Amino acid sequence: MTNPIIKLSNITKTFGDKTILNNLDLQVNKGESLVIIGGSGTGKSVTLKCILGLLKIDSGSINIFDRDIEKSSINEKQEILKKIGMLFQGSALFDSLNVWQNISFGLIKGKRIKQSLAKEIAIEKLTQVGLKKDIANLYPSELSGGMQKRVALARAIATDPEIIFFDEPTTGLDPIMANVINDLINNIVRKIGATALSITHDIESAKKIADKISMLHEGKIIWTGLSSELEKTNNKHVKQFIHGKTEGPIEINLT
Amino acid sequence: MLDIFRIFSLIGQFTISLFTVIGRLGIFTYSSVLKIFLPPIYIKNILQQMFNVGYLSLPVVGLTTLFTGMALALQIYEGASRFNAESTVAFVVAIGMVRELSPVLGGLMVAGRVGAAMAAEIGTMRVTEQIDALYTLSTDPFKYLMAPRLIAGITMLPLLVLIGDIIGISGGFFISTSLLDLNQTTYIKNTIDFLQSIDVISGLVKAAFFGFIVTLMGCYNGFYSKGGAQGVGSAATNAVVSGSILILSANLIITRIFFGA
Repeated sequence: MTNPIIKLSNITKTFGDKTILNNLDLQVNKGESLVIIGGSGTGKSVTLKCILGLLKIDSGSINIFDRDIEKSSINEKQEILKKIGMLFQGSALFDSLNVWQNISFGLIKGKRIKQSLAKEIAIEKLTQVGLKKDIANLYPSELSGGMQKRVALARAIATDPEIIFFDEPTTGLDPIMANVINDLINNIVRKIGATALSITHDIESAKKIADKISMLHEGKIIWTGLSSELEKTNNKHVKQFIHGKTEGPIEINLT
Repeated sequence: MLDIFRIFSLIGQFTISLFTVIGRLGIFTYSSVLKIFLPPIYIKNILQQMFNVGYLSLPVVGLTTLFTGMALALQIYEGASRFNAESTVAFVVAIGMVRELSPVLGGLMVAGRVGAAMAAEIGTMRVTEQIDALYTLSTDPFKYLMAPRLIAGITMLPLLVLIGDIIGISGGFFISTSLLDLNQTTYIKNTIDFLQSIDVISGLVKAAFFGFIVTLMGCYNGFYSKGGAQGVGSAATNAVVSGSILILSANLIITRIFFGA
């Protein structure tokens, strides 16, 4: 039985006279991990930002937990956001706050949990992402990129969200650290039973963390399949993309 | 023929972008001011900003008003001595500082110090997605970032200007009585006798408006900054330039409201 927890229908989004999303349809079922792959500038980030409500769509509808985001009030949106975690591409840690304050931000400010308890949870999440608890009082600028990413992951899962978004989780990391993050994502998503929606252009990462993969091209989903079907598909766009060939149906815009 | 159309099109584009900015600024101002009064109120952020805007600006504003008060005393003494009216120095220095120079120069200095820093800080938060992150952690950026800064600006600038008034008048007193041998007792008496409370109050009202303008421009330019380092840089520049121009024009309007015939 399919039970879509995120449902996008006919989403169109334009910037000026540039159409970024063109009648996009997408469904993510409860408990599954969907990864959207696609080249740079195909609208992956825009899709994510539209779902989160950071960008306003021109037409179409976005349903999360069976509620229309566009028609929700600010308070309703905040309630929905409390059940969502997000890992940003550049980690987006608050540089004015230290590590444990960053992780517990959603707990203290969003869920109004007491500071002492929130700190305990933060340290527990820190160990979950494989970091030692003595970095809890350091500031983000004192951490390496890989550590920042893990702290950001700890912050994204701090409130035990039902949905987690991952924006390019492995970009900018070395292959080993990228795999560490992939494993963490897998373990954590399975452990808390969350639904995951990720965007990436890292095929290896996509194959590792996805149940299902969708390919975004020119503002539309052109292919969806199980992660095991990715290599076998005859779709020319997908074939070109996963093998990184310069020749094929995808036009490369070098200008 | 085509050239004429191009001119029309340029005028149209300019008008549209002008109204876009005005509309965007209007909405931004409305939401930030509204959020000052709505819970949750982040006390810690407010105190932090008050410390930053108020206490840390003290040296800059103090030195500015000190030197201005001193220079003003020299100027007025020289000018007044042309028609033997040296006794007006105390009064003119006091009025000049309290009504005009302390709020305006204080406001401009704070625009340079605080406005630019706010635009750079919020701009960096924007381009590194920290503002988006705030939002996804169900925290309203307007309540968490903008409202505390606006509150700090509106409350702290009058306080700074009041201290600036005292320092500026003292500077004038020091120059007049040590360098220009005016009588100390008469100088103080003249200042107290002729200075009215409306002079001080008008200066403080100005300061509150200037504090609002400085912090609003810092927040607005930071919030809408684009791109990387360059975008943040131009946000800081714009915050100072627009803040300064708005302070000077608001100064004229407020002066006219208080003392216009």
